Amino acid sequence: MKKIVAAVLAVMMLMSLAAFAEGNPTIAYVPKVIGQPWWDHVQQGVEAWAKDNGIDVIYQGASSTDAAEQVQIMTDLVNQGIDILCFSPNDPDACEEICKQAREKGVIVIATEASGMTNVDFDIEAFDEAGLGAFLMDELAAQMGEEGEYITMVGSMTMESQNNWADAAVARQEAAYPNMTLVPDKRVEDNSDAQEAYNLTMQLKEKYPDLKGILGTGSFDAPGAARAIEEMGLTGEMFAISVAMPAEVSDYLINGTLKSVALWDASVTARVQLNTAMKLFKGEEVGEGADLGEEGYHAVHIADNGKGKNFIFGDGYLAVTVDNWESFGF
Amino acid sequence: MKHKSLEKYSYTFMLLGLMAVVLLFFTLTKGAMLWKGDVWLGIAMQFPEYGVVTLGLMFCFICGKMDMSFMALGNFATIMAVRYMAGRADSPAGGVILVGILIALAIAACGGLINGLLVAYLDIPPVMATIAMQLVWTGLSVALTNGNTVKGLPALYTEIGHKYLFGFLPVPLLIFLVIFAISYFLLQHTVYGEKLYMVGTNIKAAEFSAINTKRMVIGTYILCDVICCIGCLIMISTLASAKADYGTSYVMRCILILVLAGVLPDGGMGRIWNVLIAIVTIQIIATGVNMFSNLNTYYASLIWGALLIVVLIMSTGAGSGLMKRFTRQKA
Repeated sequence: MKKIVAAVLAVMMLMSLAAFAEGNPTIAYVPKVIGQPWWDHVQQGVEAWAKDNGIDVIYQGASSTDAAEQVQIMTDLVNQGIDILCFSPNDPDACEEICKQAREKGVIVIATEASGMTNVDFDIEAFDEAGLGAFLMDELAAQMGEEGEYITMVGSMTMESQNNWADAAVARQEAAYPNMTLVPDKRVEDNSDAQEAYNLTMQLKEKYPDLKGILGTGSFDAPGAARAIEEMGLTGEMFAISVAMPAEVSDYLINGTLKSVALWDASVTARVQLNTAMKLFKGEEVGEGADLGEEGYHAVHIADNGKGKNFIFGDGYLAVTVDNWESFGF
Repeated sequence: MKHKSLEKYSYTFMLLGLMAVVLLFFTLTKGAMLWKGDVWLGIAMQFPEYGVVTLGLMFCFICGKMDMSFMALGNFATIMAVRYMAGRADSPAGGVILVGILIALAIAACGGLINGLLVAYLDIPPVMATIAMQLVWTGLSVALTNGNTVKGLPALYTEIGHKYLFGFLPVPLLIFLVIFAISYFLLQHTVYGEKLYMVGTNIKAAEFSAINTKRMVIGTYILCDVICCIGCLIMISTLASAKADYGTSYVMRCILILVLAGVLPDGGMGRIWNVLIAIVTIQIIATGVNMFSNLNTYYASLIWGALLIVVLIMSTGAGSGLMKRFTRQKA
């Protein structure tokens, strides 16, 4: 019995000693949530970065998109004594206070999808919100022949960036496509659930028989809507688009139910966050036109987010179609 | 009956033992990280917000009722409070904050009253009634805010939430301790507490003993939701804003803590000290798991679940029989 206890203790001591290399900063990456394909992909990107650079990254996220749970995790990490905190907030406002505390302790804080945050060294975005919203609308309008009724769909009414993209898309329609109309319901939420997106599409088509387009922003919107369109036999008559993972929509791209979905590679953005943090850690400047070491970020733009010049954006969005979906590898 | 005083606390000793095991594990694996002042100050800052909520829900459980609406109601109440406070930057902050807090608590009391009426007078099963109310409050919050965060808390409010009294006592912890003391007093030293356990044990018997059970149930729901709302008021100071879906993950966490502490929703059972131990243990596990770069938060859930199973087994007759046999053989 004593031997077993001793062995267990020894193993535990070894575990605690492992993984501490000298001189490297302690880095933590906090995603919006773990256990979803989108964030699994980000995790792979972060792990690849860690391997490439030979630096450990603590990848720790909440199991739900609850901002309170995320802030608890960030608090734990900051109190453990990290040097760099990269994260993607579920709710930027909720993270201000913990980020302020982190920076007071000298932690370098780099956010993404956090437009308008004050207490960060930099907020890195793959694109500006108006740009993606307009891009989604342009794609959908082309498919709909620039006329007919449409509605917007989001993962949740509480997800700020998704709602901002939808707002930008509607603004684009009002400016450029006068023959398109937004139906009175304006916006629906599918709780980031493809099944719910499917149900909603069915219900909406019943309520608005002339509904021709669904402009989604969450990654579950187009897959769910496409299934409904296919089952109703409306392929080619009704259209849907959203941000989506290629592998999740490949069937619909191949059979033509979806013409395209929009995407940026969030794992690249995560790598850019880490690159930027390392630059700051080494005392290097990050300014307009800086090269942050990834495709789409070799000459970044720095903008004022209204609270200071800490807003970096690249040229990161792209259309995924039947021709190129396989090239993404996820 | 022979060892009543010991038996009374045997569950507490078991929970303390589990907490010690958890602490020992993290000390051996991540001792250098765990035993730092910052980490423990962090823990003292982190658990009060859902700890207070758990204390509120405890009253409901002891009464033999369930509440699923407390977080949604708390969010609605705090949204209204922040909306009130945000527009009044020019008035003295102290007064504005006080009125804001009273608004939130009043709304929570109304929510509790509705829950109580639905359950006590309309005989709707508590889970159903409060899930319906959860949807109502969340719906109202989203309709009111479009799902956005509500900002503009007076700086004083968020500062208080991060202040250390005498340099070491975080204000949220102080609030938790005050609520704990009040709850302890209510349960142990008042007629209300005595009646509450009776109602929870057997509502029919309580009724025949001339206890106004309807009034007890309604009063308990009001108490529960008001205390939960105090937890939400702490939470919004951490998050510096209010929103329809803050703290939704706390619903399951609070229920887990209570069951772990032996406060079962069947009613009539549970000791407040056990709840305190369970809250701290759950927080230590969450913080501890976050120290491992290769363990994600699902492992915290996994450990929580495993602890729950251990506690449930040990607290059943079969479990204690097993334990007795085990110890006898050893001795």
